[in-house]
Amino acid sequence: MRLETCVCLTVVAVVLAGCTETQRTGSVYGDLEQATKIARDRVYPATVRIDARRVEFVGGKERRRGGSGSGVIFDDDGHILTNFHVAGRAGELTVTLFSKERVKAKLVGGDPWTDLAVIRLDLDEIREKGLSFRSASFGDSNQVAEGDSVLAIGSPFGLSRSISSGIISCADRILGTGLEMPGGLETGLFNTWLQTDAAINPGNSGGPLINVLGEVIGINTRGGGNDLGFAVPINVAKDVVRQILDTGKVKRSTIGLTLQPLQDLETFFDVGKMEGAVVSGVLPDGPAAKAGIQAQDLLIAFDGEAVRGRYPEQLFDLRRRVSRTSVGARVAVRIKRAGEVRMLHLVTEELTTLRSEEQNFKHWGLVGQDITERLAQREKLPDTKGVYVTGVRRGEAADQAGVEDDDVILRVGTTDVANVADLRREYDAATKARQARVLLRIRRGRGVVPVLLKVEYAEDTKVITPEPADNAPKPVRRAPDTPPATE
Amino acid sequence: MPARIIHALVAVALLAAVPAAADEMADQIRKVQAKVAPATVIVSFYIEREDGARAGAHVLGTVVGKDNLVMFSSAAIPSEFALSQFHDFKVKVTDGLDVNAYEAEYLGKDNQAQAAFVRVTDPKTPALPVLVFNEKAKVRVGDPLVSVANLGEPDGFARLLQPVRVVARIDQPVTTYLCTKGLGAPGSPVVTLDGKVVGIVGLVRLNQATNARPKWSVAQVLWPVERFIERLRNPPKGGKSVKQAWVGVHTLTPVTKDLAEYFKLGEGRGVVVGHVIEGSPADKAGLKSEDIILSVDGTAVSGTEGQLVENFINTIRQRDVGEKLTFEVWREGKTRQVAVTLAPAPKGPGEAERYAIEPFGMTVRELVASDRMARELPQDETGVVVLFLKPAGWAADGGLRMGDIIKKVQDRPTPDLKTFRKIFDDEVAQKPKEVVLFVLRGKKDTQLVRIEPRWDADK
Repeated sequence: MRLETCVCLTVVAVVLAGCTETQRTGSVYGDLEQATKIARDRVYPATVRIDARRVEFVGGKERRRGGSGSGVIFDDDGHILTNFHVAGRAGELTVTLFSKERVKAKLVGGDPWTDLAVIRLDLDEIREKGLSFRSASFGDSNQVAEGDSVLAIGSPFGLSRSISSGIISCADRILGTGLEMPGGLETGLFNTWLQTDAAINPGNSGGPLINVLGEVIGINTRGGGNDLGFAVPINVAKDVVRQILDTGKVKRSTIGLTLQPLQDLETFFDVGKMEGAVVSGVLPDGPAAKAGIQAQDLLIAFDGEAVRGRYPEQLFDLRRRVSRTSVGARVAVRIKRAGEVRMLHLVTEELTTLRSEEQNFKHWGLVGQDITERLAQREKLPDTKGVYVTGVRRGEAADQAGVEDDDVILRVGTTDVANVADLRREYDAATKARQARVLLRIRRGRGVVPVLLKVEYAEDTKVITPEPADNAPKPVRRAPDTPPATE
Repeated sequence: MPARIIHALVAVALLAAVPAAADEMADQIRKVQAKVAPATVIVSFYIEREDGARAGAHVLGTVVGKDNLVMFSSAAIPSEFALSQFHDFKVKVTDGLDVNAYEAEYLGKDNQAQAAFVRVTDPKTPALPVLVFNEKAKVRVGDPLVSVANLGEPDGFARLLQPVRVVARIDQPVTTYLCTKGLGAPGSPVVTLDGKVVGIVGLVRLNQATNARPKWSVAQVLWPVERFIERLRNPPKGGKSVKQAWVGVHTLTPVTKDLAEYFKLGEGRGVVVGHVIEGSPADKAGLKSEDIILSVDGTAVSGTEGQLVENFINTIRQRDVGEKLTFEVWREGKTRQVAVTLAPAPKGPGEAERYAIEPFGMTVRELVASDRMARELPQDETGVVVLFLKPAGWAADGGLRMGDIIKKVQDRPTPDLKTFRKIFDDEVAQKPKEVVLFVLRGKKDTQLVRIEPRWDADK
């Protein structure tokens, strides 16, 4: 005990001594400060605050939500890189430039899997108002190493143009595979993270993490205390940006299997330490299953390239590599099973997300969405047919009839519905005919049951919600919800 | 504020106005005490958990047969534990302040009757007075009753007599009675003021909110004698639980009034069968998903919307395994009769066979039907369930988790416990450096788990 205390005291003494030394001579620390200033001057003017408004459904009710985050302008066309959870679902976007001037922006595209989105400034408005902006350039996140000095720029808690500083605490942090963002979207399966001790708080989201050369090396995405902030590496973002600028979205392939690191299992598979990744599970009816790949196989090559998956960190890169294969491509894979190496071929499929656009079926008191492949897998549904109920309004027809969240509507009356479009057609027909009773066939868990909606068509009462008088962004990010548009 | 004072005064006045009645009641309670208290005993035992920890239990029991048959609450015997985990059953009889313990044998329980039984086997046991039960409770709202409870061991488990009143009769799904505060622990007798035993304290689930937004809680009630009187004459044997009758229908929903009108079911209501379990009596009888069961043996499935499903389930549970029931079933506009032969309910986790693998610090058990239901696994899912892991044991250190379903040992499938035992014993016989298991974790995640035995170090 006594010894430890001594050691601590010694360290403190050395650090203090170091400080005084620097101030006196202005050597290495002075250089760092100089470099930091240059970096700041390059990226600070390209960093923006983003205020986003979106409409979402909570408990079946439409709510308008507002929030603010950060972003960085990366080209002269006014494209801004930010987080999906800041702008990816926004209807209206307002950007506050470095000059404190506000400009409208539009969503170009988003990618929930990497939590990134690209928006674009309204250049007409920029011209009309005679404004100007600067753009920052991307660095190479593969060159980033632990201990590198970094700056984070953004609007923590809505406090625009804030800079915090720190170092890279870990250059390939993994945060597990079960990450979700608000709204139930899966994320984080295809990237490791840059961990930093530069302060990252709510509102920093989407802002740049930069090195001392003034290059953007990451997009600050997660954090909020204990000096633990996490940024998506810019090399991951570059790929996403390119696809969004080209096509407005990011397309990924899936091969329908889950992976486990090889570490400690090399004797079991009788392979070298760096040879392959373990197939821990195969999704029924997915590409891997169709190709004959089984759980407990060892994946040793994919598309002619050796697979290295000894550590969990390597699996994120491997997944990204697999996801970049073009959708529908026939790919050769080499596996090892019970000591025998086999060559198999699989055909990739497009990776979907759990969520698709929610639609409101007003008179029935419910909100539903299409069933994506991913959702069907998670909910163990036999197929993607039907409409997945994501919200039931309390006290209204569906609720009264006993419809619950996660139910799947299979049929209306005597007509099967395969998706939201089908349901919309049946809904419109029933509504037009002022049909008072609507029989639904519903899948609940493993069961199938009928429910009867008792629909009321009271004259629609218009609730007029006044627009907020002052449309200015609120100073604090977690602003109270705006009143619902209709009740 | 003044209003409250007035209320209080009125209450005091009322109390003061009936001294004679109160004295009469005191006499009656004392008479009940003399008659009932000697026929109550304390049943004690302990449960040995998988980690070796022991949890002792002392519950109030009632002597219900001349051959020293003692009944207590089945709630004291949790179903998740195997029979082999219950030890050292004793019946403790209070004699003044001395407590004498006598060896007893656990006979079994009947969850539906809420009754469990032991028989005192110790030859030195004195003849214990037997409590005689009415055939029927015959109580009404407002009736005064006395509930027996007890203090703890330092006070010689002294019996307490607590006056209560019946405040409500609950008809669904079975008739029970709510009483004012003061009912004793589950299993303890409830007696009228003239000393007739009308039931025991039981537990029921009560929804104290609406059908749409239920709020269920467990409440203590008077569990009337007709719910368990049959079991007194025919107690279970050999520590077995009385098997519940089972139909094998799942995802039951009530037929709402609107749905009944729409389908033109007339006065009928019933329950919708959402899912029929493969191979179950319902499946064998030809029941299908979306069928509506209108009646059982001619008695309509009835009740309020929130009670229909509970009532139907209870109708089945009141019947015995092997009985043949006739369901009136509505399917696509037509009504038909379906004969269903009740089977015993599938094994629960507590009845599943276990296998403890000492050096690995792990205990596994059979995968049972309720596991598949609870974890939404396919009905043909196989394997064995990891029931317990010793902290820092070989298996725990290797990353195995409780609840994992082991599907393979090395490369060899282990579909059931018997196969698992054989393969596992076979694989570890040569003291290998590693044992690799393929497991299912949670609902769908599979992975390999590598266990590194420390054959030499841990000896």
